[in-house]
Amino acid sequence: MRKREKRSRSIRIYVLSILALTFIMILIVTMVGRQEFSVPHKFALEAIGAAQGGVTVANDYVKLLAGKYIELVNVREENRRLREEIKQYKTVSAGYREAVATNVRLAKLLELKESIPAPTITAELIGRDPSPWFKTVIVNRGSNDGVRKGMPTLTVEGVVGQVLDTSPHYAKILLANDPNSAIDAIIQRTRTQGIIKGQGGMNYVMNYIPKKADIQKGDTVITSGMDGRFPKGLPIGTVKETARTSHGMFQQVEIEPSVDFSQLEFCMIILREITVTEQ
Amino acid sequence: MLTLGFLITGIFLLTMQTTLLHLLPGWIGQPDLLFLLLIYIALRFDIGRGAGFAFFLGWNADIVSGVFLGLHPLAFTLLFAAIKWLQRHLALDEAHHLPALTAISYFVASSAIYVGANLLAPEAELAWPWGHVMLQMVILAIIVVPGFTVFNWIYRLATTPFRWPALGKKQANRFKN
Repeated sequence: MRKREKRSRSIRIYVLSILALTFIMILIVTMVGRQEFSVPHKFALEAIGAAQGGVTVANDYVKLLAGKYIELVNVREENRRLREEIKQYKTVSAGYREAVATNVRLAKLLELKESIPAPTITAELIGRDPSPWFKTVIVNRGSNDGVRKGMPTLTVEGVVGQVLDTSPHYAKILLANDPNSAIDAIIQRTRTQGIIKGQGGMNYVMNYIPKKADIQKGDTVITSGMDGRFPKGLPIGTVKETARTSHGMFQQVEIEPSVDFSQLEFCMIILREITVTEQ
Repeated sequence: MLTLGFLITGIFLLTMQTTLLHLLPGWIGQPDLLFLLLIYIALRFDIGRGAGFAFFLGWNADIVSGVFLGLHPLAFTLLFAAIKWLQRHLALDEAHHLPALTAISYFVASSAIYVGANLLAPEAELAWPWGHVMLQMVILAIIVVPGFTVFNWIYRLATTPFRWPALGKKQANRFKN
Protein backbone atom coordinates (compact mmCIF):
# COMPACT_ATOMS: atom_id res chain seq x y z
CA MET A 1 0.00 0.00 0.00
CA ARG A 2 2.77 2.45 1.02
CA LYS A 3 4.79 1.45 -2.00
CA ARG A 4 1.81 2.20 -4.23
CA GLU A 5 1.32 5.63 -2.65
CA LYS A 6 5.00 6.43 -3.08
CA ARG A 7 4.84 5.40 -6.73
CA SER A 8 1.76 7.49 -7.46
CA ARG A 9 3.42 10.46 -5.71
CA SER A 10 6.54 10.19 -7.83
CA ILE A 11 4.39 9.88 -10.97
CA ARG A 12 2.52 13.03 -9.94
CA ILE A 13 5.83 14.90 -9.45
CA TYR A 14 7.05 13.75 -12.87
CA VAL A 15 3.81 14.82 -14.55
CA LEU A 16 3.92 18.23 -12.85
CA SER A 17 7.57 18.73 -13.79
CA ILE A 18 6.86 17.77 -17.41
CA LEU A 19 3.89 20.16 -17.47
CA ALA A 20 6.02 22.98 -16.02
CA LEU A 21 8.83 22.34 -18.51
CA THR A 22 6.35 22.15 -21.41
CA PHE A 23 4.84 25.47 -20.35
CA ILE A 24 8.29 27.06 -20.16
CA MET A 25 9.27 25.65 -23.56
CA ILE A 26 6.02 27.00 -25.09
CA LEU A 27 6.83 30.42 -23.62
CA ILE A 28 10.35 30.26 -25.03
CA VAL A 29 9.24 29.10 -28.48
CA THR A 30 6.69 31.91 -28.73
CA MET A 31 9.35 34.40 -27.67
CA VAL A 32 12.49 33.40 -29.60
CA GLY A 33 13.45 35.84 -32.31
CA ARG A 34 10.97 38.56 -31.37
CA GLN A 35 12.39 42.04 -31.11
CA GLU A 36 9.52 43.89 -29.51
CA PHE A 37 8.93 44.01 -25.76
CA SER A 38 5.68 42.52 -24.47
CA VAL A 39 3.81 44.10 -21.52
CA PRO A 40 5.59 41.94 -18.89
CA HIS A 41 8.94 42.84 -20.48
CA LYS A 42 8.05 46.54 -20.25
CA PHE A 43 7.02 46.09 -16.64
CA ALA A 44 10.29 44.31 -15.85
CA LEU A 45 12.32 47.01 -17.62
CA GLU A 46 10.55 49.56 -15.44
CA ALA A 47 11.69 47.66 -12.32
CA ILE A 48 15.23 47.00 -13.53
CA GLY A 49 15.56 50.55 -14.91
CA ALA A 50 14.51 52.01 -11.56
CA ALA A 51 17.10 49.84 -9.80
CA GLN A 52 19.77 50.83 -12.33
CA GLY A 53 18.87 54.51 -11.91
CA GLY A 54 19.14 54.16 -8.13
CA VAL A 55 22.52 52.45 -8.34
CA THR A 56 23.79 55.12 -10.79
CA VAL A 57 22.75 57.92 -8.39
CA ALA A 58 24.30 56.07 -5.42
CA ASN A 59 27.48 55.49 -7.40
CA ASP A 60 27.73 59.21 -8.28
CA TYR A 61 27.29 60.06 -4.60
CA VAL A 62 29.98 57.59 -3.53
CA LYS A 63 32.32 59.03 -6.17
CA LEU A 64 31.66 62.51 -4.79
CA LEU A 65 32.38 61.35 -1.24
CA ALA A 66 35.52 59.50 -2.35
CA GLY A 67 36.69 62.62 -4.20
CA LYS A 68 36.20 64.70 -1.09
CA TYR A 69 38.08 62.17 1.02
CA ILE A 70 41.02 62.10 -1.40
CA GLU A 71 41.16 65.89 -1.33
CA LEU A 72 41.30 65.77 2.46
CA VAL A 73 44.12 63.23 2.47
CA ASN A 74 46.13 65.34 0.04
CA VAL A 75 46.03 68.48 2.15
CA ARG A 76 46.53 66.82 5.54
CA GLU A 77 50.29 67.54 5.49
CA GLU A 78 49.79 71.28 5.38
CA ASN A 79 48.94 73.42 8.42
CA ARG A 80 45.39 73.62 9.65
CA ARG A 81 44.51 77.09 8.49
CA LEU A 82 46.00 76.66 5.03
CA ARG A 83 44.45 73.26 4.75
CA GLU A 84 41.01 74.66 5.41
CA GLU A 85 41.61 77.49 2.97
CA ILE A 86 42.98 75.23 0.28
CA LYS A 87 40.18 72.80 0.79
CA GLN A 88 37.69 75.59 0.31
CA TYR A 89 39.46 76.90 -2.77
CA LYS A 90 39.78 73.44 -4.20
CA THR A 91 36.13 72.72 -3.67
CA VAL A 92 35.14 76.04 -5.20
CA SER A 93 37.59 75.62 -8.06
CA ALA A 94 36.43 72.04 -8.73
CA GLY A 95 32.87 73.29 -8.66
CA TYR A 96 33.72 76.03 -11.18
CA ARG A 97 35.62 73.63 -13.40
CA GLU A 98 32.73 71.18 -13.35
CA ALA A 99 30.31 74.03 -14.03
CA VAL A 100 32.42 75.25 -16.95
CA ALA A 101 32.73 71.72 -18.34
CA THR A 102 28.98 71.16 -17.97
CA ASN A 103 28.34 74.54 -19.54
CA VAL A 104 30.52 73.72 -22.53
CA ARG A 105 28.91 70.31 -22.92
CA LEU A 106 25.39 71.69 -22.64
CA ALA A 107 26.21 74.59 -24.98
CA LYS A 108 27.42 72.08 -27.55
CA LEU A 109 24.31 69.99 -27.04
CA LEU A 110 22.16 73.10 -27.37
CA GLU A 111 24.01 74.10 -30.52
CA LEU A 112 23.42 70.62 -31.92
CA LYS A 113 19.83 70.66 -30.75
CA GLU A 114 19.24 73.92 -32.61
CA SER A 115 20.85 72.58 -35.77
CA ILE A 116 18.47 69.60 -35.85
CA PRO A 117 14.95 70.52 -37.00
CA ALA A 118 13.06 67.78 -35.08
CA PRO A 119 12.53 68.12 -31.31
CA THR A 120 15.09 66.28 -29.22
CA ILE A 121 15.36 65.00 -25.67
CA THR A 122 18.47 64.41 -23.56
CA ALA A 123 18.82 61.04 -21.83
CA GLU A 124 21.24 59.66 -19.27
CA LEU A 125 22.75 56.23 -19.72
CA ILE A 126 21.93 54.09 -16.68
CA GLY A 127 22.82 50.55 -17.71
CA ARG A 128 25.08 48.70 -20.14
CA ASP A 129 24.74 45.33 -21.84
CA PRO A 130 26.92 42.80 -19.98
CA SER A 131 27.27 40.35 -22.89
CA PRO A 132 30.32 40.37 -25.18
CA TRP A 133 28.28 40.06 -28.40
CA PHE A 134 25.63 42.70 -28.13
CA LYS A 135 26.08 46.43 -27.65
CA THR A 136 22.96 47.92 -26.11
CA VAL A 137 22.40 50.41 -23.29
CA ILE A 138 19.45 51.44 -21.11
CA VAL A 139 18.60 55.17 -20.84
CA ASN A 140 16.29 56.98 -18.44
CA ARG A 141 13.76 58.16 -21.04
CA GLY A 142 10.81 56.15 -22.26
CA SER A 143 7.53 56.19 -24.14
CA ASN A 144 6.07 58.71 -21.64
CA ASP A 145 8.71 61.19 -22.85
CA GLY A 146 7.75 60.55 -26.48
CA VAL A 147 10.52 58.06 -27.22
CA ARG A 148 9.56 55.40 -29.79
CA LYS A 149 11.25 52.41 -31.40
CA GLY A 150 13.60 53.37 -34.25
CA MET A 151 14.33 56.93 -33.13
CA PRO A 152 17.95 58.00 -33.79
CA THR A 153 20.29 58.71 -30.88
CA LEU A 154 23.37 60.90 -30.99
CA THR A 155 25.85 63.00 -29.03
CA VAL A 156 27.82 66.12 -29.89
CA GLU A 157 30.50 63.86 -31.45
CA GLY A 158 28.11 61.96 -33.71
CA VAL A 159 25.74 59.03 -34.15
CA VAL A 160 25.26 56.75 -31.13
CA GLY A 161 22.57 54.35 -32.35
CA GLN A 162 18.81 53.94 -32.40
CA VAL A 163 16.02 53.11 -29.98
CA LEU A 164 15.35 49.37 -29.89
CA ASP A 165 12.53 49.15 -27.34
CA THR A 166 10.81 51.25 -24.72
CA SER A 167 8.89 51.04 -21.47
CA PRO A 168 7.05 54.06 -20.01
CA HIS A 169 10.17 55.53 -18.34
CA TYR A 170 13.13 53.72 -19.90
CA ALA A 171 14.42 52.76 -23.33
CA LYS A 172 16.87 50.27 -24.75
CA ILE A 173 19.28 51.71 -27.33
CA LEU A 174 21.01 49.63 -29.99
CA LEU A 175 24.48 51.16 -30.32
CA ALA A 176 25.91 51.71 -33.77
CA ASN A 177 28.82 49.35 -33.03
CA ASP A 178 26.46 46.38 -32.44
CA PRO A 179 26.76 43.77 -35.21
CA ASN A 180 22.98 44.02 -35.77
CA SER A 181 23.13 47.77 -36.51
CA ALA A 182 23.21 49.13 -40.05
CA ILE A 183 23.25 52.82 -41.05
CA ASP A 184 23.18 54.28 -44.54
CA ALA A 185 26.22 56.56 -44.89
CA ILE A 186 28.32 58.56 -47.37
CA ILE A 187 31.95 59.61 -47.55
CA GLN A 188 31.76 63.40 -47.18
CA ARG A 189 34.55 64.20 -49.67
CA THR A 190 33.56 61.91 -52.55
CA ARG A 191 29.83 61.35 -51.74
CA THR A 192 30.36 57.60 -52.14
CA GLN A 193 27.51 55.74 -50.49
CA GLY A 194 27.74 52.61 -48.32
CA ILE A 195 26.33 50.85 -45.28
CA ILE A 196 27.95 51.24 -41.87
CA LYS A 197 27.85 47.99 -39.89
CA GLY A 198 28.91 47.49 -36.28
CA GLN A 199 31.36 44.74 -35.49
CA GLY A 200 30.87 44.39 -31.76
CA GLY A 201 34.27 45.99 -31.15
CA MET A 202 35.38 49.58 -31.20
CA ASN A 203 35.29 50.11 -34.99
CA TYR A 204 32.71 49.97 -37.77
CA VAL A 205 33.02 48.51 -41.22
CA MET A 206 31.61 50.28 -44.27
CA ASN A 207 30.18 47.80 -46.78
CA TYR A 208 29.25 48.00 -50.47
CA ILE A 209 31.92 50.56 -51.42
CA PRO A 210 32.93 49.88 -55.05
CA LYS A 211 36.57 48.94 -55.60
CA LYS A 212 37.13 51.90 -57.90
CA ALA A 213 35.86 54.46 -55.38
CA ASP A 214 38.46 56.91 -54.16
CA ILE A 215 38.62 56.44 -50.37
CA GLN A 216 41.46 57.84 -48.34
CA LYS A 217 42.53 57.42 -44.75
CA GLY A 218 41.05 60.22 -42.62
CA ASP A 219 37.98 60.80 -44.85
CA THR A 220 34.92 61.83 -42.84
CA VAL A 221 31.86 59.57 -42.94
CA ILE A 222 28.41 61.09 -42.39
CA THR A 223 24.83 59.84 -42.46
CA SER A 224 23.24 59.92 -45.92
CA GLY A 225 19.66 60.38 -44.73
CA MET A 226 18.62 57.76 -47.28
CA ASP A 227 17.41 55.24 -44.72
CA GLY A 228 14.77 57.72 -43.54
CA ARG A 229 15.86 57.13 -39.98
CA PHE A 230 18.89 59.37 -39.40
CA PRO A 231 18.91 63.00 -40.57
CA LYS A 232 21.45 63.75 -43.29
CA GLY A 233 24.93 64.99 -42.37
CA LEU A 234 25.44 63.62 -38.85
CA PRO A 235 29.06 62.59 -38.26
CA ILE A 236 29.65 58.83 -37.94
CA GLY A 237 33.44 58.54 -37.99
CA THR A 238 36.59 58.70 -40.08
CA VAL A 239 38.18 56.19 -42.45
CA LYS A 240 40.86 54.23 -40.61
CA GLU A 241 41.87 51.66 -43.18
CA THR A 242 40.91 50.40 -46.63
CA ALA A 243 41.53 46.96 -48.08
CA ARG A 244 41.05 45.78 -51.67
CA THR A 245 41.01 42.07 -52.37
CA SER A 246 41.52 40.48 -55.80
CA HIS A 247 38.04 38.95 -55.81
CA GLY A 248 34.66 40.64 -55.39
CA MET A 249 33.25 43.99 -56.44
CA PHE A 250 33.70 45.94 -53.21
CA GLN A 251 36.48 47.13 -50.97
CA GLN A 252 36.58 46.75 -47.19
CA VAL A 253 36.65 50.08 -45.36
CA GLU A 254 37.26 50.24 -41.63
CA ILE A 255 35.82 53.28 -39.85
CA GLU A 256 36.87 54.74 -36.53
CA PRO A 257 33.71 55.98 -34.72
CA SER A 258 33.49 59.64 -33.83
CA VAL A 259 31.81 58.64 -30.54
CA ASP A 260 33.78 57.00 -27.74
CA PHE A 261 31.26 54.38 -26.63
CA SER A 262 33.20 53.56 -23.46
CA GLN A 263 32.84 57.15 -22.24
CA LEU A 264 29.16 57.53 -23.08
CA GLU A 265 27.17 59.17 -20.27
CA PHE A 266 24.51 61.28 -21.96
CA CYS A 267 22.92 61.15 -25.37
CA MET A 268 20.21 62.92 -27.33
CA ILE A 269 17.20 61.22 -28.88
CA ILE A 270 15.62 62.82 -31.94
CA LEU A 271 11.87 62.72 -31.41
CA ARG A 272 10.68 62.38 -34.95
CA GLU A 273 7.48 60.77 -36.13
CA ILE A 274 7.73 57.05 -36.83
CA THR A 275 5.81 55.84 -39.84
CA VAL A 276 3.72 52.67 -39.72
CA THR A 277 6.09 50.85 -42.09
CA GLU A 278 9.07 51.62 -39.85
CA GLN A 279 7.29 50.22 -36.82
CA MET B 1 9.93 33.44 1.01
CA LEU B 2 12.65 31.39 -0.72
CA THR B 3 11.22 32.28 -4.13
CA LEU B 4 10.97 35.98 -3.28
CA GLY B 5 14.47 36.02 -1.76
CA PHE B 6 16.06 34.59 -4.89
CA LEU B 7 13.94 36.72 -7.24
CA ILE B 8 15.26 39.82 -5.47
CA THR B 9 18.81 38.41 -5.52
CA GLY B 10 18.53 37.83 -9.29
CA ILE B 11 17.34 41.37 -10.00
CA PHE B 12 20.02 42.78 -7.67
CA LEU B 13 22.82 40.85 -9.41
CA LEU B 14 21.56 41.87 -12.85
CA THR B 15 21.47 45.52 -11.76
CA MET B 16 25.02 45.31 -10.39
CA GLN B 17 26.21 43.66 -13.58
CA THR B 18 24.77 46.35 -15.82
CA THR B 19 25.81 49.34 -13.71
CA LEU B 20 28.70 49.03 -11.25
CA LEU B 21 30.67 46.08 -12.64
CA HIS B 22 31.29 48.03 -15.85
CA LEU B 23 33.48 50.38 -13.82
CA LEU B 24 35.99 47.58 -13.19
CA PRO B 25 39.05 47.68 -15.46
CA GLY B 26 38.78 45.40 -18.49
CA TRP B 27 41.79 43.21 -17.61
CA ILE B 28 40.15 42.19 -14.30
CA GLY B 29 37.01 41.24 -16.18
CA GLN B 30 33.42 41.68 -15.14
CA PRO B 31 32.14 38.52 -13.40
CA ASP B 32 28.84 37.17 -14.69
CA LEU B 33 27.14 36.96 -11.29
CA LEU B 34 23.74 36.10 -12.74
CA PHE B 35 25.25 33.02 -14.32
CA LEU B 36 26.67 31.99 -10.95
CA LEU B 37 23.18 32.21 -9.50
CA LEU B 38 21.88 30.04 -12.36
CA ILE B 39 24.41 27.31 -11.50
CA TYR B 40 23.42 27.51 -7.83
CA ILE B 41 19.74 27.17 -8.71
CA ALA B 42 20.45 24.24 -11.00
CA LEU B 43 22.29 22.40 -8.25
CA ARG B 44 20.14 23.24 -5.24
CA PHE B 45 16.54 23.73 -6.41
CA ASP B 46 14.04 21.06 -7.45
CA ILE B 47 13.13 20.70 -11.14
CA GLY B 48 9.85 22.63 -11.16
CA ARG B 49 10.98 25.65 -9.16
CA GLY B 50 14.50 25.60 -10.62
CA ALA B 51 13.29 25.56 -14.22
CA GLY B 52 10.98 28.47 -13.44
CA PHE B 53 13.88 30.40 -11.92
CA ALA B 54 16.21 29.63 -14.83
CA PHE B 55 13.54 30.90 -17.23
CA PHE B 56 12.97 34.01 -15.10
CA LEU B 57 16.70 34.85 -14.98
CA GLY B 58 17.00 34.43 -18.75
CA TRP B 59 13.85 36.45 -19.34
CA ASN B 60 15.29 39.34 -17.31
CA ALA B 61 18.68 39.04 -19.00
CA ASP B 62 16.86 39.45 -22.34
CA ILE B 63 15.55 42.86 -21.25
CA VAL B 64 18.97 44.41 -20.64
CA SER B 65 21.05 42.38 -23.06
CA GLY B 66 20.92 41.50 -26.73
CA VAL B 67 18.61 42.25 -29.60
CA PHE B 68 16.49 39.11 -29.89
CA LEU B 69 14.10 38.08 -27.15
CA GLY B 70 14.01 34.45 -26.01
CA LEU B 71 17.70 33.62 -26.47
CA HIS B 72 18.67 33.86 -22.82
CA PRO B 73 15.61 31.98 -21.45
CA LEU B 74 16.25 29.19 -23.97
CA ALA B 75 19.98 28.92 -23.18
CA PHE B 76 19.44 29.15 -19.40
CA THR B 77 16.61 26.57 -19.33
CA LEU B 78 18.56 24.13 -21.52
CA LEU B 79 21.63 24.56 -19.31
CA PHE B 80 19.50 24.02 -16.21
CA ALA B 81 18.16 20.76 -17.71
CA ALA B 82 21.69 19.63 -18.63
CA ILE B 83 23.06 20.28 -15.12
CA LYS B 84 20.08 18.52 -13.54
CA TRP B 85 20.72 15.51 -15.79
CA LEU B 86 24.43 15.50 -14.86
CA GLN B 87 23.54 15.75 -11.18
CA ARG B 88 21.26 12.72 -11.43
CA HIS B 89 23.42 10.49 -13.57
CA LEU B 90 26.96 11.35 -12.50
CA ALA B 91 28.49 11.39 -9.04
CA LEU B 92 29.09 15.14 -8.88
CA ASP B 93 31.20 16.14 -5.91
CA GLU B 94 30.68 19.87 -5.39
CA ALA B 95 33.93 20.39 -3.50
CA HIS B 96 35.98 19.09 -6.43
CA HIS B 97 33.86 19.55 -9.53
CA LEU B 98 32.18 22.90 -8.93
CA PRO B 99 34.79 25.24 -10.54
CA ALA B 100 35.14 23.02 -13.61
CA LEU B 101 31.36 22.54 -13.91
CA THR B 102 30.79 26.31 -13.71
CA ALA B 103 33.48 27.15 -16.27
CA ILE B 104 32.30 24.51 -18.76
CA SER B 105 28.66 25.50 -18.23
CA TYR B 106 29.56 29.11 -19.07
CA PHE B 107 31.24 27.95 -22.26
CA VAL B 108 28.18 25.87 -23.23
CA ALA B 109 25.69 28.68 -22.46
CA SER B 110 27.80 31.24 -24.36
CA SER B 111 28.00 28.87 -27.33
CA ALA B 112 24.21 28.40 -27.27
CA ILE B 113 23.61 32.17 -27.26
CA TYR B 114 26.22 32.67 -29.99
CA VAL B 115 24.71 29.97 -32.23
CA GLY B 116 21.17 31.24 -31.57
CA ALA B 117 22.09 34.85 -32.40
CA ASN B 118 23.87 33.74 -35.58
CA LEU B 119 20.86 31.67 -36.66
CA LEU B 120 18.46 34.57 -36.07
CA ALA B 121 20.65 37.16 -37.83
CA PRO B 122 23.22 35.45 -40.06
CA GLU B 123 24.06 38.78 -41.73
CA ALA B 124 25.33 40.20 -38.42
CA GLU B 125 28.40 37.88 -38.53
CA LEU B 126 29.06 37.82 -34.79
CA ALA B 127 32.67 37.19 -33.84
CA TRP B 128 33.45 34.62 -31.15
CA PRO B 129 35.36 36.48 -28.40
CA TRP B 130 37.81 33.82 -27.17
CA GLY B 131 39.58 36.23 -24.82
CA HIS B 132 36.40 37.31 -23.08
CA VAL B 133 34.98 33.80 -22.78
CA MET B 134 38.23 32.35 -21.38
CA LEU B 135 38.64 35.21 -18.90
CA GLN B 136 35.03 34.80 -17.76
CA MET B 137 35.51 31.03 -17.33
CA VAL B 138 38.57 31.61 -15.12
CA ILE B 139 36.82 34.32 -13.07
CA LEU B 140 33.73 32.15 -12.54
CA ALA B 141 35.86 29.15 -11.54
CA ILE B 142 37.60 31.32 -8.93
CA ILE B 143 34.55 33.04 -7.47
CA VAL B 144 32.12 30.11 -7.55
CA VAL B 145 32.96 28.85 -4.03
CA PRO B 146 32.66 32.24 -2.26
CA GLY B 147 29.62 32.95 -4.42
CA PHE B 148 27.94 29.72 -3.31
CA THR B 149 28.72 30.61 0.32
CA VAL B 150 26.80 33.87 -0.11
CA PHE B 151 23.89 32.12 -1.87
CA ASN B 152 23.81 29.49 0.91
CA TRP B 153 23.52 32.31 3.41
CA ILE B 154 20.63 33.84 1.44
CA TYR B 155 19.02 30.38 1.24
CA ARG B 156 19.25 29.95 5.01
CA LEU B 157 17.96 33.46 5.57
CA ALA B 158 15.00 32.87 3.27
CA THR B 159 14.07 29.49 4.74
CA THR B 160 14.39 30.44 8.42
CA PRO B 161 10.98 31.57 9.69
CA PHE B 162 11.01 35.16 10.89
CA ARG B 163 10.02 35.73 14.51
CA TRP B 164 9.10 39.09 15.94
CA PRO B 165 11.01 39.85 19.14
CA ALA B 166 8.73 39.32 22.15
CA LEU B 167 8.54 42.94 23.33
CA GLY B 168 7.17 43.56 26.77
CA LYS B 169 7.25 39.91 27.64
CA LYS B 170 9.29 39.08 30.71
CA GLN B 171 12.13 36.65 30.18
CA ALA B 172 12.28 33.64 32.42
CA ASN B 173 14.64 33.92 35.39
CA ARG B 174 17.80 32.16 34.35
CA PHE B 175 19.13 32.14 37.93
CA LYS B 176 16.12 30.48 39.45
CA ASN B 177 16.90 27.13 41.14
